Amino acid sequence: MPNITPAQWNYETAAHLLLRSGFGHNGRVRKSTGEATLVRMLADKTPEQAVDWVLKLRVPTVVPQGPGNLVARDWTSFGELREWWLERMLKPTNPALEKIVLFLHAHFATAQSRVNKSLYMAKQNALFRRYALGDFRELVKEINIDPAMLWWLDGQSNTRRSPNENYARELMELFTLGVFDFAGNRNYSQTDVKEAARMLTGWRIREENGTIESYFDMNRHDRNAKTIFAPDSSETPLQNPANTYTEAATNDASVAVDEHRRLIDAIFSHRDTEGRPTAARFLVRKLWKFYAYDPEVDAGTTRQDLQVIDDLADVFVASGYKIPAVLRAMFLREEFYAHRTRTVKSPVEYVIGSLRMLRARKTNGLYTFYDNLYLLGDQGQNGKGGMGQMGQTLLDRPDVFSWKGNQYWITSHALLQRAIFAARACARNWFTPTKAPIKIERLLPGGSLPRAEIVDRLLRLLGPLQVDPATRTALIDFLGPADPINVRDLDVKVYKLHPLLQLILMLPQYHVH
Amino acid sequence: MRFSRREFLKASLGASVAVSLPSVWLRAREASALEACEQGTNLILVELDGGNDGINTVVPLSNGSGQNRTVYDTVRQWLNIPVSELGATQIGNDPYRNGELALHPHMNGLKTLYDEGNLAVVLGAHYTNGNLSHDVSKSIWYKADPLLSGISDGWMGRTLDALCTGQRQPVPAVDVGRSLNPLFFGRTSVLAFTNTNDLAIPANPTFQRPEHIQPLEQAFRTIYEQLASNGEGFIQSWAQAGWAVASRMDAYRSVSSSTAANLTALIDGADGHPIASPTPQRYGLAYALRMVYALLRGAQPGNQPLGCRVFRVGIGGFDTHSDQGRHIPLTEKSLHQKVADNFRNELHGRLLHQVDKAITAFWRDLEAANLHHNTLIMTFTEFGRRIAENGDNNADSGTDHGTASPVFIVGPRKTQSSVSTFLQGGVYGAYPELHLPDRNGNMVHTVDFRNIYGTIMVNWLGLSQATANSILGAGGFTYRPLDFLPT
Repeated sequence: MPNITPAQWNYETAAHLLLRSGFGHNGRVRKSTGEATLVRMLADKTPEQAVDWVLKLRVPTVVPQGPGNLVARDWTSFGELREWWLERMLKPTNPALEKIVLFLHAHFATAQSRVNKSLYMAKQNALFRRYALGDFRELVKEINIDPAMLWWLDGQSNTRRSPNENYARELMELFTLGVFDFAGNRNYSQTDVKEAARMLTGWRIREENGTIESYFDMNRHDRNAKTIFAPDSSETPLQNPANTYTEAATNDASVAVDEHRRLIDAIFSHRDTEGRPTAARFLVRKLWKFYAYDPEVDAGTTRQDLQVIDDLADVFVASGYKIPAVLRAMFLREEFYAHRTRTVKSPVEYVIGSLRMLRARKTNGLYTFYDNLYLLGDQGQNGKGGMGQMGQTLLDRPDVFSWKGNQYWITSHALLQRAIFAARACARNWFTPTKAPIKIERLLPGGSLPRAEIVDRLLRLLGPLQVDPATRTALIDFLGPADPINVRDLDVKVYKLHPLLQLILMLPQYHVH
Repeated sequence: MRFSRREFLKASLGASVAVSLPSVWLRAREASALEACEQGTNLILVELDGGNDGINTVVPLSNGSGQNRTVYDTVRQWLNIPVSELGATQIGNDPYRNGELALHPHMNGLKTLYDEGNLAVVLGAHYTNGNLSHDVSKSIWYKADPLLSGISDGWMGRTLDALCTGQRQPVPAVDVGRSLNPLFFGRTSVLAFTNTNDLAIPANPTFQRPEHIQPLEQAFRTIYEQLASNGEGFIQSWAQAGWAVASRMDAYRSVSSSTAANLTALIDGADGHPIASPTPQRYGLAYALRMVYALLRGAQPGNQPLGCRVFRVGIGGFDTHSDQGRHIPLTEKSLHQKVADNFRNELHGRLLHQVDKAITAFWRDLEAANLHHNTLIMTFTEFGRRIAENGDNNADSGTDHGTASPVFIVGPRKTQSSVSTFLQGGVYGAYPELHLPDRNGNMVHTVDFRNIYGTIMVNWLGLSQATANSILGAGGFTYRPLDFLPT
C-alpha cells in the first residue's frame, strides 16, 4: 500500500499529523524562525519515526491512582469530570491517547442526560483508557455490560419475559456493523435485532458503597436457543449463510454468562455481501472519517477511497483488532495527508487545538475565559462561547448518534459561538497583560517585522493555513498602513496583534483541516 | 397580513442589509415561486424527536367496525389510558373503521383547537417497510426518500431552492436550534440560532467602542463575503453561514417577543400552573416558538416582516424504550399537581403536555397579533412506537421503535384564512388496524407522509404540482393531495 515517503515529508505534513493524531502542537515557538518547535522536530524525522513518536502513548495499563484516579474518586458532578478530561487534552503529554478516547466516547454514544450519575461516565471513560491501546473487539464485549451503557440503552431492563431491543439495535447499527454495507445491502434484519437482544438478556447493575458494577442474573436470562444472521428473504436475502450463528439453549449460568461475548465474536465474523469483514470495514471507515476525512466508499459514489479502507480493514483484522496497529497504518498512508480542508474541526478540536497552539494560560483575570470553558453545558449565559453552545458537550449528547461532524457543525449559531470563544481567548488590554490568556510576544518573536510576514508567520503557526490572496490581503490591511510594524510595541500588541489572532481564529479556513 | 411582492423585497432589503449578494442566490425565476412569495404563507415544523408513541397520542376509544380498543386494552396494560380519562379530549372518529378517538388527556389545548376547526389530525402517517433505526428513519422523513436512493438535500431545502429561485432573499428559513436540521440541507442559506441576541460579531470584551469593533467587523465582512461566493467545499459553507448572519443580524436583533403574552405566561409559569422553578428545558418548545413569533411579527418599529417563512422547532425525549410512564388519572391527581411535581413517573404524558401547551399558546399569540391568517403548523416524528408495550407491566415498561404515527396540522379555518386555501379541521387517513400488524408487531401505515408534504408544498407554499412531484418523486412517486388544505 502506498505510504508517505521521506521525500514527501515536511513541515506541513508533520503539522497535519500532530493536528489529526492529537490537537496540534504545543505552542512553543523557535525564536530564530518563528516555526513551531515540535512541528519542526517531527518534520526533521522520517515519517515512521514521526508516527511512532506521536503514538508513543504513555498509557497506563491501569488507571492512575491518587488524586487523578478516575474510578476511585467520588465524582459528584459532570462539570468536574469534564474539566478533568479537558485538562488532559490540554496537557502536552498524551494528546494521541486523549484523541482516541474522544473517538471511543463519540463512537459508543452514552450521555449524562439519561445516565445522570457522573461516576458511571467516569467508569466508562476509564474503560476507554484501558482499551485505547488494546483490542477493539474485546472492548465491545466490555461495553455490552458497562453500567453506563446498560443504563443508557436499557440493557438492564432487557429480560427474558420482555426483551428490550434498544441496545441490540444500536450495537449493530452504530457500534459494529452499520445498517447497510458498502454495496447498499442490509447487514442484518429486524429478526437479528430481536435475537441479539435475547442473547443480551439478564444483565443488571448493582450500586453498593459508592461502587458500581454490572452482574449477570440467570433468572432474567432467556435460556432458549437463538439464531442470528440467518438469511431473511425480505430484509437480508443476500446474507452470507456462513455468517449464521446459533447459540444453543442452556440452563447453565456459567455458559450463559459469556453469551454476550459470543454474540460479539459472531458480529466480528460477519462478512458483507462483497465478502469483506463487515465490522472492520465499518470501524475503519469511521476512524478514517474521524482522523482523516469522510471517505467515498458507498455504492453510488466514486468509491475512490475504497482501497484505503479495505487495506486498513485488513490491517485491523490481521492485528486482532488492535487499535494502535490500525492508527499507525492510517497515519502512514499517503492519502492521510492528501486533504487539508475536507473535514470541519469539531468544537473540541477547535477549542483545545487553539488553546494548545496558542499556548494559552489559565488565568483568573478580568477576562478569564479559560475557566468558563469548563461550563461547557448550555446553562444560559455561562455557556456562551463554550463547546456546548458550539454543538458538542463532552459526556452529553442530544441522542444516541455520534456527533455527525462536517456540515452538521456548520451553523450560524455555532459560528458565532466560536467567534465568542476567539474573542475571549485573544482578549488583552494594556494595563493587565498578565491576565491575558495568550502572550503574543512568545508566538511572534522579533522586533520590527513587515506586515505580510506577521500575517504569514501566524498563518503558518496556526495551520499551516493556506488562504487565498484576497483573505491574506484583508488580514494585512487589518494591520493598518504602517509597514513594517514593531511587534514589541504595546499598542500594536493590544490593538493589532491580539485582534489579528482573533480574526485568524474566525477564518473559514481555520475551521477546517 | 397579505403583502405584495414589492413590500416583500423591501422587507428583505432593509437599509442595513442592502448588500450585493453572492451569485449563488440569484437564479432564474419560476412563476409559481413569485406567486408563493406574494401569498406570503408561513410554515412551522415541530419535530417530536425520538419517535413519538402515536397510539397514546391519539388513543382508540372504541372499536367501531374494527378491534383497535380491544387490542389496545390487551397489549397496553401499564401504559393503558382508560376510556374514562378520554371523554374530555374526544375528537372525530376514525374515517375508516369509525371507531371513536381521543387525544391524550393532557392535550386539552389541541382539543379546543380541534373544536374550533383549527386542527387536522392525519392518522397513520409513514412509509412502506418502516425502518426501525432512528437515524435512517429520520433521514427518510428529512429527505422524503423512503427508498434511500441517496438524496443528500432535505425536502424543505429542495422546496426552498424552488421557492426562492430568483428572489433576492437570502434567508427564507430559520432553524431554531444550534444545529441545522438536515431537512433544510440545500443550496438556500438557512440560519440556525436559538436567540436573536446572539447575532453579533464579538470583539475583544475589553474594547467595545466602535473604533475598536469596526475594523474587525470590516475585515470579517470582507473575508466572509468573498469566500461565500468564491470559497470551496466546507470553507464556502462556513463562509455562507457567517455571511448570512453578517448581512441580516441588525434586522434580526431588532425583533421583539414582548407581545407573545401566552407563551411568555407559559414560560414564566404565570398561566395558572404552579411551576416551582420554570426552566428553559421544561418549556424549551415554548421558548423556541416565542422566537418564531418574534421573527414572524418582524422588526420594530412598524413590524416589517423579515422574510423568514419556514421555521423548524424541536422537542426531544420521545424515545421511550423504558419508563414511559403510566397515565395517572386526573381524578387521582390534578393537572396542576402534575405540573408542580414535573409529571413524576409520567414521562410521555409530560412531553405531550409540553407540546400541547406550547403549540396552543403559540397559536393564541398568533391570533392576538393577527398572524394566524397565513400560518400553518405541522408536527412530525421519525416513527411511532411498537403496538405492544415492553416490560413486565411495571414502571420499567416502555415501547420499542415502531412505524406509523399521527401528524397534527394547525392552521387558519376558512373564515380566518387570508390566503387562497385554509385548514379544514378533522380527522384524515385511517387508524392502522392494531390486530393486523406487520411481522415486527408494528402498525401498517395508511398515509404516505409524502402526501402530507406534497399537499403543503402545493396548496400552502404555492409550488406547482410538477415541482412538488420532482422534489418528492424518488422512485417514481406521485403525491396524492389530502383534503386538509382544500383548493
